[in-house]
This record gives sequence, structure tokens and C-alpha cells, in this order.
Amino acid sequence: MQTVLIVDDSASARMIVRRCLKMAGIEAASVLEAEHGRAALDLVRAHTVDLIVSDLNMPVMDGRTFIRYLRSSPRTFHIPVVVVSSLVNDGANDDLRQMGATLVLPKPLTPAGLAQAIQTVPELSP
Amino acid sequence: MTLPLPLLDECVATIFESMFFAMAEPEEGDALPAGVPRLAATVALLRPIAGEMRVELGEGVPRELFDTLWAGERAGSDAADAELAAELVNTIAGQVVARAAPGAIVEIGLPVVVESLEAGAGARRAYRLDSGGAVVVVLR
Repeated sequence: MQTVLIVDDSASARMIVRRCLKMAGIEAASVLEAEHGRAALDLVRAHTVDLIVSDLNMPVMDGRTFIRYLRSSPRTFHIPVVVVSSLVNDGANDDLRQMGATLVLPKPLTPAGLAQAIQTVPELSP
Repeated sequence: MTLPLPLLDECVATIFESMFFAMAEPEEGDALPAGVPRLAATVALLRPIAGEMRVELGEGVPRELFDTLWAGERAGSDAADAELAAELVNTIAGQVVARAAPGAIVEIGLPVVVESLEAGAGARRAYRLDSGGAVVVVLR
């Protein structure tokens, strides 16, 4: 894994994701961070990103809008997106998967939860 | 909105344990009555449940949680305390509503942080951390 992009308006939440990725065995050469979807889109356009981990509830551009933009562009539609949000339940899970989320996980993220979940997605397995 | 106490207690306990390795036990009475300094963050509950959640953290609690979470990787500050309080109310509110309405799309607002001596109005539920710090969740 070369580059991971973490999108969350909370620095603490981004740090938890960084820590969980590392503990789950997803070692990235580079980790980029953005506070909202708009800033994340700028980073995706400027870098080659292999994996995106994104919150939903953010200012400026929320996670759902961000995913719609990603999936509508030929340059970014293929990038796996793991949604990590407190707003996750069965209803949101179905909705987000249809929208293009690769994986949907509840906050607070745990290393064990992430490690177990990524095993179900071949493109994310370390 | 009726306070879903067992669900709220379970969510608060899980979140404090997962994020901060801390035990949060429900406590009878009000651990943060009016006049006691607190850092509070509120968030609007938009759908499928309408209302407001506020999380109040007693003096020193935000920095204690921050230091546990970051383990010296980042220095604490008032802004960092506020950011942590905002993330906490966002996480608790989202999880409580998402679990209360498992088939529904959940929407909440963006958190707002206030420093205050005033106790938030509404149904109050107090928690005591194993470090002794006080946390109150207010729903209305």
C-alpha cells in the first residue's frame, strides 16, 4: 500500500484511524489527511491514492458527497473507500454500499474491527 | 425525546473504553451541577430522531482524555480539548441514534463547543470515569 488518505474533521479521529491501520497490518508509505471532502478531493487530484478512509459528518463537504464525486470520475472511481462513522447502522450500511463505499465501519474504530473487516475485501487485505 | 438509558449507558461505556481505555460508570444524581466549570459540546439530532444532545466534561477531563488518546504524540491545548469534546458528542450522538433506529438513515448536525458554568437543560445522565472525572450527557 503506497498512499492512504484519511478524511475526518477531527484530528483525534484521524489519529485513531492511523493507529488502527498500522495495528491492522496496513502499512502505508505515505498517509495524507484532510479535514473534509473538498480538501480530500484536492489531494486525490494531486496524488495517487490507494485507499481512502472517510468520515461522513464533516463541514464544507460531507462524506456522502465526497464519495459521489469519487465514483463519478474515471480517475478516482476505482479507489477503495472505507467509511468510518458513528452514523452507521444497517440502513446506512446498505445506502453507503450502493453509493460506492467499499466497507462501512462504526466509530469508534478499533484495530480488531478493522482487521476483521478488511479480510472480507480482497483488494484491502494486507 | 425520551432518554434511552440502557442504550445510552452501553454506548457511552463502549466509546470511552474504545477511545480512551477508560471505564465510564453511570452515577446517580448530577455529577456536574450548575456553577461547576465544564466544557460542553452540543449537536443537533436531525433524523430519524429530532432533538439535541449535549456532552459535558468536568474540569480537567478533556485534557486527561486527550493525553490518553495521543500518548504524548501531540501537545494538549484549549483548541485540542474543544476538538476532542466535539468528536465525543458526535460519536455518542451518532451511535445512540443509529442503534435506536437500526434501519434508518441517521443525520445529525455539526458539533458546537461551549465553555460554561451552566448545566444543560433536558434529561441528564451522569457518568463517573475510573480516574474520578465527571461526564454528563444531556438529551432534549
